[in-house]
Amino acid sequence: MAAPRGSQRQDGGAHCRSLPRWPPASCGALDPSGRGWARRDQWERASWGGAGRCRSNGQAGALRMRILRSAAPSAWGMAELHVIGQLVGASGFPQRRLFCKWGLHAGGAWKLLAGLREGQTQVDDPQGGDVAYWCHPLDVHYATKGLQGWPKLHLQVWHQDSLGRSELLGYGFCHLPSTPGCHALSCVTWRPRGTRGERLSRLFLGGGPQLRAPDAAYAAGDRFRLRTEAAGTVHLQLGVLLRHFARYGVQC
Amino acid sequence: MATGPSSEAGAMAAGGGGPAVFLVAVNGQIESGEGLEEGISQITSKSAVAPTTLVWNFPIEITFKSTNPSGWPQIVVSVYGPDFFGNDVVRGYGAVHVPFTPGRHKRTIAMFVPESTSRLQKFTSWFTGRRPEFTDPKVVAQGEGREVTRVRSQGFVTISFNVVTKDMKKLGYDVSPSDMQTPCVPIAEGIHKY
Repeated sequence: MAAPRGSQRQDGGAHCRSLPRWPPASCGALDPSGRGWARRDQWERASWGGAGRCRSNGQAGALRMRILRSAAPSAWGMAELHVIGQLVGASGFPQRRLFCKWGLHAGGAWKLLAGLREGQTQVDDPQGGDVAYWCHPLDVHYATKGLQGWPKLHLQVWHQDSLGRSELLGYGFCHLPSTPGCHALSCVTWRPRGTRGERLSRLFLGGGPQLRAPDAAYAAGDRFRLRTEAAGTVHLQLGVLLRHFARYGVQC
Repeated sequence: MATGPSSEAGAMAAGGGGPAVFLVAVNGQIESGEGLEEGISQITSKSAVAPTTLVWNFPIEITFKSTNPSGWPQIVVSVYGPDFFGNDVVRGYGAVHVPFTPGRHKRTIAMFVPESTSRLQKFTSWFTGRRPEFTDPKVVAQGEGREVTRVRSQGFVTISFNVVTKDMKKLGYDVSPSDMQTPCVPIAEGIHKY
């Protein structure tokens, strides 16, 4: 996706730089009549069609602010991605009382407009069965100028024992789905294997080796020095809403 | 965008029967809603016909309007039931997002209950009937502040939705693969296959 044309024009560049950063929640007043939305569409057609030059900075500026305040928060000229879903739970781990630390990582072209970028679920001790359920809601809103660095969700599953100590059970990551709709995902996890002595001490004392830099779990790079073993699976239910991707010719 | 009528047929496999309280938690820029946002169902019990299922069959009809999907509404369900001494204690909390694709959906959500921090408190709360509860059920619908909670999951509640949306395409949102005009293999929507 090319950057919006306005930002490359010499005369248009100034007005694009002066656009304010989108305030997240302060402009919550929506225009019930929908007139604000219609005006925004017209303004977009005028500027993208090439025939629309700004009339004068003052008038255009006032119109722009009115439109931005009344329209839905779409960063100007960008495609948007909404992910609305849940971290449902985890299964296949040897212990109960699990919690999950999660985070979202995206490339430089992506901007998080609303929602939390990272978090930690509650500690769940399942009564029946060995599936831990967290039901942790995820609601994020990204705006993007490019397809590189599609957001990925990275997870660390931890176990909290009765003494309150936490030990790592698994690392995992998965890309957010790129197709709109509801998806039920299973993210597999792994944990560092350690030497025989470390495995023996983990058996009796708990704990175990962890990655020094947790980014290595989801960063692209060489991992050949790492010995790992399989851990359980984390289940997610994510709904994806895309906006304006078709406008840029992207097929998802 | 508007979501239309949906109805709940609940089934929970835990403890004795009890009323279910539902509440719609909305975190974002939702403009207007019609219909009840909270409700209490009847008190139900298991029967010989269905020894592991409790049925509420409670109707929910709500309409929302917004221009931004951030803070999409969630349905928060709290289930209460009698304990050994007959006090009404909380049996589970759960939350699920209202689906945004139009059509009929069934969602089974796991219920969890906050746990006491110490064994003494556990015994005291069992004895007096005052179990740990969330003061605001909306906490269940949020992601912040949950890292300090210890819970026990027990039981499931099934909610079936019929969702109708309006003007999603007009605002530029694609909600299903067919909207993108490149159909892909549909993905099953069930959980609890494990």
